Amino acid sequence: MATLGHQAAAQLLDFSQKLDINLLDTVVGSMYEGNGETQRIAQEVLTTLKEHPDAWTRVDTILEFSNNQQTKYYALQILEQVIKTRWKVLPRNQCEGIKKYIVSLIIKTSSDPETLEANKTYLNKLNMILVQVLKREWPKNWESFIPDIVGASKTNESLCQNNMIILKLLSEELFDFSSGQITQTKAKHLKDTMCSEFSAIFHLCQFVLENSQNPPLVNATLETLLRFLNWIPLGYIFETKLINTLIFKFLTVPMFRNVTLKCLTEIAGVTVSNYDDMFVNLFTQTMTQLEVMLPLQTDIKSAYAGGQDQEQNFIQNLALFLCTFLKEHGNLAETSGQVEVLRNALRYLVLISEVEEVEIFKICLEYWNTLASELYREVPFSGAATIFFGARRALYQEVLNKVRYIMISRMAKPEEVLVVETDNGEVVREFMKDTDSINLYKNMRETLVYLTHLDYADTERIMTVKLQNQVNGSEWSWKNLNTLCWAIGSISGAMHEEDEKRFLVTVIKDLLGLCEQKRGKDNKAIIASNIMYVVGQYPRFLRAHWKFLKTVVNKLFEFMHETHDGVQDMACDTFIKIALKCRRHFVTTQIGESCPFIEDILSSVSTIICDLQQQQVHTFYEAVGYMISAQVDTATQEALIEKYMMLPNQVWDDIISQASKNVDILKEIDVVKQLASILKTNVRACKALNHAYVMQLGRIYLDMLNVYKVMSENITAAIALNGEMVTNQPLIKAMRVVKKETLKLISDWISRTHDHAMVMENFIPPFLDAVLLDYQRTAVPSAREPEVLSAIATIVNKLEMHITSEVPKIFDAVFECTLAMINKDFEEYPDHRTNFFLLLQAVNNFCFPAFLSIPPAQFKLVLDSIIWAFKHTMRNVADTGLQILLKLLQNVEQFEHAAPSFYQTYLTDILQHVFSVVTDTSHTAGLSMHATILAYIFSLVESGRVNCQLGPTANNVLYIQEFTATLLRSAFPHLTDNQIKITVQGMFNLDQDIPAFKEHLRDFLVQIREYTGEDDSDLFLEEREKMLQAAQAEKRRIQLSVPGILNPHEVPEEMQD
Amino acid sequence: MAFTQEKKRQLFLQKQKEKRSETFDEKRDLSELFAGDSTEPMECESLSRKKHFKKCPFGYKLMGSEWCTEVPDDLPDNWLIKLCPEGIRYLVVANKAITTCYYRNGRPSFTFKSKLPGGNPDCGHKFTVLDCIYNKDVNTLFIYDVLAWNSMSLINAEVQMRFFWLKSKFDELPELSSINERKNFRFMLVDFFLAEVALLQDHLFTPFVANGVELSLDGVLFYHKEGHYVFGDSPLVWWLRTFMLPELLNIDVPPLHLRNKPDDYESIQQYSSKKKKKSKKESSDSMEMEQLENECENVDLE
Repeated sequence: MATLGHQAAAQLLDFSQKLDINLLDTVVGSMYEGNGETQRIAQEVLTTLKEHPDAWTRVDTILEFSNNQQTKYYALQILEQVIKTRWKVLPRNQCEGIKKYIVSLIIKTSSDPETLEANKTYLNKLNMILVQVLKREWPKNWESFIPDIVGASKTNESLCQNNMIILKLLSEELFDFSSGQITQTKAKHLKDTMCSEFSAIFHLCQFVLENSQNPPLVNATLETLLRFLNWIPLGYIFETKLINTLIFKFLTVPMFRNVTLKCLTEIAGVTVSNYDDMFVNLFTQTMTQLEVMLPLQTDIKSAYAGGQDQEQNFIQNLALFLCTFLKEHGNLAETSGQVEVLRNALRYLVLISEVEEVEIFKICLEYWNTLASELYREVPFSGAATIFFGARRALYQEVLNKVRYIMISRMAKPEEVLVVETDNGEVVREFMKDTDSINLYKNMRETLVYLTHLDYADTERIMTVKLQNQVNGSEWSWKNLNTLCWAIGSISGAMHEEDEKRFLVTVIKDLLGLCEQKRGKDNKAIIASNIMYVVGQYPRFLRAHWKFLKTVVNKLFEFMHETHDGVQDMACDTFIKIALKCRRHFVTTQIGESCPFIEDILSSVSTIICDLQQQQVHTFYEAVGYMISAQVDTATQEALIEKYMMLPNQVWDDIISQASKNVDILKEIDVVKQLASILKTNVRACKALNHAYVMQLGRIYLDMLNVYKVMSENITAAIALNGEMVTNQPLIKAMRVVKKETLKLISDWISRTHDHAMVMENFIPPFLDAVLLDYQRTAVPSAREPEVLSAIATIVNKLEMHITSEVPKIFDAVFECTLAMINKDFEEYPDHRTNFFLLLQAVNNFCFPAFLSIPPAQFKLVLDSIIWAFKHTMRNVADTGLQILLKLLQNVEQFEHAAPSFYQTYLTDILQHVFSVVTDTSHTAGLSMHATILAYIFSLVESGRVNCQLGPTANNVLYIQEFTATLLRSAFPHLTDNQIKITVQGMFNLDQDIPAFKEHLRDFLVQIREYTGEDDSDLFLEEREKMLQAAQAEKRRIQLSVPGILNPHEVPEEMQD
Repeated sequence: MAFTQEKKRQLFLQKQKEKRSETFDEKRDLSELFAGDSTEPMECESLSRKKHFKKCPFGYKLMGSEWCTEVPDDLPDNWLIKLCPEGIRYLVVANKAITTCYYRNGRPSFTFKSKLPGGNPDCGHKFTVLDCIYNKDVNTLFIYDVLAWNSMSLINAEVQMRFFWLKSKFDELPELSSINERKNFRFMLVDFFLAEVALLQDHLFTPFVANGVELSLDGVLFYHKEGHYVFGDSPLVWWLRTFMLPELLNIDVPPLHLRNKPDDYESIQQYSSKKKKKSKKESSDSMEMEQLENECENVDLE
C-alpha cells in the first residue's frame, strides 16, 4: 500500500501529465471510507497535492470529470486555498478566468430547483468561494457586482434563491466576521460600498416578499433580510411597509413564522427615539396576530414538551421577541394606552417561563430580573401597598406574583461539590465556583430577592403554602423539597428581621414536623439536610437566638457520627458555614451559660470527630479555628489555640519523639500519612487563625523542617535505588504530600502575617537552610517539589524589598537547576515551569535591584529565561513571561546608570523575539500584551528616553525603524516595501494608543497571510497612511497641550513668543 | 377588692368538693373520658396553621401554678413540696403502644417506647398520663404528678392519694428507671416531703442527683394536700424560683441553685410584676423558640 501511495502521489503531482481522474477518485474514496494505514496515506497524498502551488490548475478538470461529490468538494477546497493566499499573485487573466468559471458553475447549479436541492453542500461551498473572491475583487475589479446579482435574480426563482444566500454570506463576512480576516480600512470600505448600493438589494427583497409564491425563495429572502437588519439604515425598516409585510403576511404562516419572529425581534432591539409609534404598532399588531396563532389559554409548558423542533423554536423565539421588546420599549407599552396588550404579553412570558427547558427559562429570567430590579430601584421601599408606590408596581403586581411562584418552584442548586482524587491519591471535595447551575442560582436568587422586596408577604405566602404541600404530601418529593429549601435559603436578609424570624420559625417547625412524620433514613436524612441548609442560610436568626444556635450545633455534632450517605459531609459543611458567620458567639459567654461554648467544643473534640473522615476532620478544624479567631484578647486566644491543637500536637510529639530514637519510623506509611493529615489540619488552622497561628507554627516549625529533610532524603534514596517508577508508590506519594503540605503551611502563614521583621528574623533563615539546600541537592529533578518555587514566590511577594538581600542566595539554589529542567522543551515539568516564572516575576516586581547585583552572565540567563517564557504555548507561562518583560523594561528605565548598557545589549534582541511571537499564530491570545510591550519600546525610543546610542547612527528612532523594517522584510519577503513602510510608521504613530496599536498589528497579521503581488491598492495603503498621519497629528496635539511634554526645540515658533 | 391568696384557695377547695359530689356518679364510667380518642381522628387541619399537629388525646392538659407572694399559715400542715431541676415541662402520655411528650400548649414534641402501662406494644389497650419535667443534661424525665395510671384516671383524686399511688406503682416497675435503649433516657420519680422550712432547708443542701450528675435547681413546687388535678391554673399549687426562697421563707440557698437569678432581681413583687409587664407576645415567642430548640434536639434519623 505504501508504495502504491507513493506512486499515486507521484502521478497526481506530475503536472506535465494529464490528470488521472479515476486515480484521484480512488484516493479520495479511501480517505473517506478506508481505515488505518490506507486512510493515513490517502490523507497524506491529498494534503501534498492541495499544498502544491499549481494544484488549482487541476480544479476545472476535476469538477468537470469527476463523478464523486467528495472529490469535487476537495477540488473546491484547493480553489478556496489559492484564493485566500495567492489571489494577488495570480495573473489577472487567470483571476478573471476563475471568477467567470465560478459564476457560471453557480448559475448552472442553481438555476434548476432540483439540481439546487440535490447539490446543496457543493453549492454552498461554491457560494463561499465566490464570497472569498468578492472580498478581493469587489468593488475595484467588479464594480457591477450588486447590479449584476440583482439583475440575474429576476430571471429565475431558484437562481434568485441562491443569490439571496450569497448576499447573506457576504453580509455575514463583512459585518459579523471581518475582524482579523481583512484589514480595518478595507473592511470599512466594503461596508460603505454595501450600504451605498443596498437600495437595489432591498428592492429585490421587497419584490420577492410581495410577489413570490415560491416558499423556499421567500424563506431564503427572509433569512437574508434577518442578517441585514442589524446594519441597514433605519429608514428601510421604518419608512417602508416592511414591518407590516412581516406581521400580516408571514408571521401567521407556520413555515415562515420562526424567521419572521426573529426579524421582528431584531427590529424590536433597535433603540431610537423617533419611531415610537412604529414600535407601539409593531408590538400591538404582533400581539394581535399571536393571540390568534397561540391563544392565551394554551398550556405552553405541555405544548413545548410535546412539540416538534419547529414549534419548540417558535416558543424560544417568542420568548426572545417579548423579552427584547419589553426590555427596550416596555415603557412605550405602559404609556401608550395599550396596557391590556402589555398584560397579555406578560402572561405569555409567564407561561413560557414554566417551560421545562433551562435555556428558554434563562431568556425569561433575564427579563424578570431587569423588571424586578427596575421596579424596586425606582421606589426602593418594600411592601405591596401599591397606593404608596405608584401605578407602575400596581400594573405588574399580578404578573409578579406568578413570577414569584415560578422562581420558588424551580430555584436552582446553590452549590456544587465535586469529589476528586488528586495525583497524590488524596480524596478532596471541591466547591465549584462557576458552573452553569450556580450562575443560574445567582440570577434567580437576585430576582427573587427583588421580588421579595416588592412584596415580602406574597413570597412568604407562597413558600408557606408550598411547605404545607410537602407536609400534606401533595408535592412531596426530594427534588421538590430541595428546590423549596434552596428558595427559602435564597432570600435570607431580604425581609425585615422580625418578619424573617416569624417566617423562619414556622418553616423550621414544619420541616421538623415533616422529619418526624416521614419514615426511613433516606427521607429523614434529606429533610434533616434541608433543615440544616435553611438554618445555615440565616446567620442573623442564629445570632439572635443563642440557645437555638447551640442546639443546632450540638445536633450537627450528633450528625457527625451518622454514617448514612452524605450526612457527615452535610454536618461539616453546615458547621463551617455557621462558624464563619456566628464565630463571635462561640467565644463569648452567653446568657444562661457558665463559659463560652468554644470551651465545651474544645473539651469534647475527640468525641465529636471520632467518626469523621480525614478531610471532614480538616473542615471541622478550620471551622473551630474561625471561632477562635474571633477572640480578641490575645492571652485568652492563645490558651484556646493551645487546647485546640492539643490532639494533633499529641500525635505529632509522639511521632517526633519516636523518630528521634529511630528515624526509620518515618518510612512507615501509616506514620507518614498521619503526619500529612496533621499538617493539613495545621494548614486549615492557619487559614482560619491568620497571623495568630504563629504560636502553633513556632511550636512545630523546626521539627517540621527536619521531617521535611528526612522525607526528601528518603524519596531521593528510594529513586536512586529503584528508579523513578518508585514515585508512583503510595508511600512515596504520601511522603511528597508531607513535603507539599509543609511548604503550603509556611507560605500560607507568611502570606497572612504582617510582622515582616519576625518572619525575616525567625522563620526565613531556617527555611532557606532546610528547603533551598534540599532543593538544590536533590539529585533527581522530578523529586524536587515545584511548591518550593511557589512558596518562595509567595514569600517574595509578601516581604517585597525586605528580602532583596536574600535573592542571590535563593537564585544560587534554585535558578540554574530549575532552568536546566525546563529549557529542553516547552512541556516537561509544567508545574516547575509555571512556578519558576512566577518566582521570577515576584523578584522582578519587588527585588529588581537584586538583578543588578548578580553577575552579567547570570543576568543574561534571567533575560533568556524571560524570553523563553513568552515563547511558550502554555498560555499562563507565556502571559507571565510577557508581564515580566514589560515590568523589567519599566524597571530598567528607573535605573539610569544600568539602562544604557541594557539597551545596547538587549533592546534589538528583545524586539526581534517579540516580533517572532507576534507573527506566530499560536500566540494570537497574547496580542494585547505584545502590542503593549512593542508600543512601550517604540515610545521609549521615540521620546528619547533611551539615553545612549543604539546603533551606528546617532538617531535612535531611525535606527530602530530601519531595524524593524529589515527584520520584517527578511521574515516576510512577500510583503511590498510600501506595506512594510506603513506598518513600521504606524507602530511609531500609534505607540500612545494601545488599542489602535493592537488593531494595527492585527492588520499586519492579515497581510502576512496573503501574497500580495504587485498590486497593493487593495490594502488601501494610502488611506491607511492618511489615517496614521491624522493619528500622529492628534498625538502631537495632546503632547502640546501639556506644558513641558515637548522639548523646547520641538515647539513650533509661533508658540514661543 | 381582690381576694387574698388564702381566700382564693378556700373558695377553690369548696368548689372542688361540690363539683366532685355532683359529678361523681356521672363519671363512674371512666371510658367516657376517652371517647374523644376514637371519634375524633387525628386532627390534621390545614386551614389554620397553628393547629395542624395531633393534640393530646383525652383532652388532658397540664396543671398550672401561681406565684406565691405570702406564706400561708397552714404551710407545714397542709402542703407538700417537690423540688424542680431546670428543664421543660411535658405531659407524658403512654397510649396505643407509644409514649408521646406534649408541650404545655398541647403540641407534641417527641415520641418513644416506654415501660409505662400503654407505652409499648406489649401492654395492650391501656394508657397512662404523667406530669413531668425533662432535663436534657441528664436525659431524664422527672415525674411530678400522675393524671392516669393503667387506664385509671386520678385527676379527681387528692394530691396525697396521687403521690402515694404514683410512688407505689413506680416502685412496681423498676425498669422505668433504667435507660431506654433507643432514646437513651430514663424516668425518675421526684420524692415529696412535708412543707416544713427546716426540712426544705435540708433538702436544698442535699445534692439533687440524677444519672450521677448534680443538677442545679430552678424552683420549688408546693402542693396543697387536698388539691385535685385541674387542667389550667390552680391556686392549690404554687411555685417559687429558688432565688426567692431566702426572701420569702428566710432560708439559705446554695449558690449552685441561684444560677438563674437575674442581675436586676430585687424582690418577688418586682419580679412578678416585671414578668407580667413582659408582653404576652414576647413570652409566647420565647416559648416558641424553646419548642423549636427541643424539636430540633429531638430530630432523629432512625
